[in-house]
Amino acid sequence: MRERSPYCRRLALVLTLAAAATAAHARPVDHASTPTRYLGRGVDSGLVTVANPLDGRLYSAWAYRAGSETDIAVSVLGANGMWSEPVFLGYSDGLSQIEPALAFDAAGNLYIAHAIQETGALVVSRLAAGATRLSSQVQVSAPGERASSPTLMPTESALVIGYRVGGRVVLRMISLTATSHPFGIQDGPDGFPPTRSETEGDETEPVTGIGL
Amino acid sequence: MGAQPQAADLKGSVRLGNYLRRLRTGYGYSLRRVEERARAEGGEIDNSQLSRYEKGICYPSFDKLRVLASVFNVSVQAFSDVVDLEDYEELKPTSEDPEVLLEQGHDAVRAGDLGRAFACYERTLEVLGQAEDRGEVNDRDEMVARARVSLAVALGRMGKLALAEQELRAALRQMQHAGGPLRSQALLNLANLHADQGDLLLAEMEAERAHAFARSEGLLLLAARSLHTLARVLADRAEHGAAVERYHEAAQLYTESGESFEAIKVRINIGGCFASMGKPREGIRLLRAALGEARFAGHRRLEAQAWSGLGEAHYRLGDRERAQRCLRESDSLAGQAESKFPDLLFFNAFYSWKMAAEEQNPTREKIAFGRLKVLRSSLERRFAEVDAFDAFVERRRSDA
Repeated sequence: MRERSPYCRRLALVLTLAAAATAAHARPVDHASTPTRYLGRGVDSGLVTVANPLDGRLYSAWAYRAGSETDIAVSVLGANGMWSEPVFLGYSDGLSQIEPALAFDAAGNLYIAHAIQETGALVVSRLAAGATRLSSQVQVSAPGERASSPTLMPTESALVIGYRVGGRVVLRMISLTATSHPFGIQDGPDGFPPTRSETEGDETEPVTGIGL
Repeated sequence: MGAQPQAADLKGSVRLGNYLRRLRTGYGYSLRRVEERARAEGGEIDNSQLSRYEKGICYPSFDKLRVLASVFNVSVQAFSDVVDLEDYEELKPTSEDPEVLLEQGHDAVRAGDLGRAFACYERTLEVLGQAEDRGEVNDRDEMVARARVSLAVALGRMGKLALAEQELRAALRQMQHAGGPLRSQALLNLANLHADQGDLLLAEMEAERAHAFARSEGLLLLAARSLHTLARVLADRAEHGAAVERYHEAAQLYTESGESFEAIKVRINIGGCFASMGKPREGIRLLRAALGEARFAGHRRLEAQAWSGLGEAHYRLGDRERAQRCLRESDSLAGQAESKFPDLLFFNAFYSWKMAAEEQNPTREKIAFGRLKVLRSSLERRFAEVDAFDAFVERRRSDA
């Protein structure tokens, strides 16, 4: 059988993410097995649950109304069949964290994304396998973007984040294999106007860079 | 039917008006539909008001532009770019021959006269449009696509990324059933625009497609450019080791095809990768060698970029004095009046700002910050330093 090209695989990934971003937060809730403090109504209605691929434990997150703001609550289903007391992200910080998304990578690292209602920013943090503290948050959306409905998909080398901005779906990537921080300007090749000879497959006359 | 407005009645921008109309009709919206969409976005745009904007009778206010930007899903910057382009109207040649016009555009690109190149390519599209109305030109679609890709190149090099992207998308739509080198070139140009805008996933997909085509057809230069693009995507993702490997492959192909400008650029990028990988001394050695090549060949952009890279590498080594000297050298090249490089100027100002903060020099810090704010407002390109600056501004705003 012919193997699918990397492009086809990525296209499939993009389409899956786009569909997931559209359908996010619509999952029906099984009330018999929902976490402590989960009300299942109002902003609480979007319960997101994922299983750790290493030990099968379930992790749930939801937007939890706490007074005048909303936080993200995260709870774990223990081996005894009981949900843990939730841990709150953004507790009493004056901002409303909403629309959580969860995903595990194959190594058992948990990624949590959510939107911030007031600023429209979308942030991601990571709970490394075996760790008890979340990493600091990374803002994924561009400044000024009003992002919503995040969806996460870890691949072998990157975390792909899909979210909505107005009527479109935006995709961003965070490298999982990076060994350092990116900095510096990396220029790609200059744009090149196609001459007739080039468009016919003859590359004898490149029009790049000269005079700049 | 209402009478056409006289030139004296036009206090707005005909170019902006045409752009708004193109966006609106592209979406299939009536004037009234835009009014409804604007209301849904929390703004008010009366349909008669919009009609006046489209006719160039008056300018929309900044608030109205913001609403229109969200209705049409474009950046406000794109509107301001459209208005900027009016300056090149007077450079439009009078020729009626599209092939001649395209050649004139290519000559202008070679000479670095991007405004003239833009004017030539835009005129080509106008002439082709008129010829279509008369039912005259053969191979019109291919020629329109070629003109659009060329126009996008001129716009991209002028830093007008959103407009360049729109032209490339239009060209690709026109060629959707065609394969061939032109489509792959358009795709590769689009990949680099997406990488410049921070969309690395799309950039990688597009560059991989262009690379696969180049390999299958044995197109050396296109293969080199695709590998170059894939490498910069990896570097932008901080996968510097993998990026260096790809850069070496690209450099070899560039050398084989006699493309020295891009080969030097690749060597500068490799130097930057080493500095980013925590090997600043090796980075400095490579950057110095590339600087010598760029200077010898007289490539101002590359020379300025190598100086910027050296400044950053010295900064990483903690040698602020040398770092500042390098950044000043870069500034003097990047700030030359005939054609400035705002991305490099921003980059240099960013490190000057960081160094001023570390040296606890509030006056220099304030000056550098002010410079960054001014440069940022006209910079569409995103790279790590732009993101760091934006994050700082955002944090400060939410703290306030």
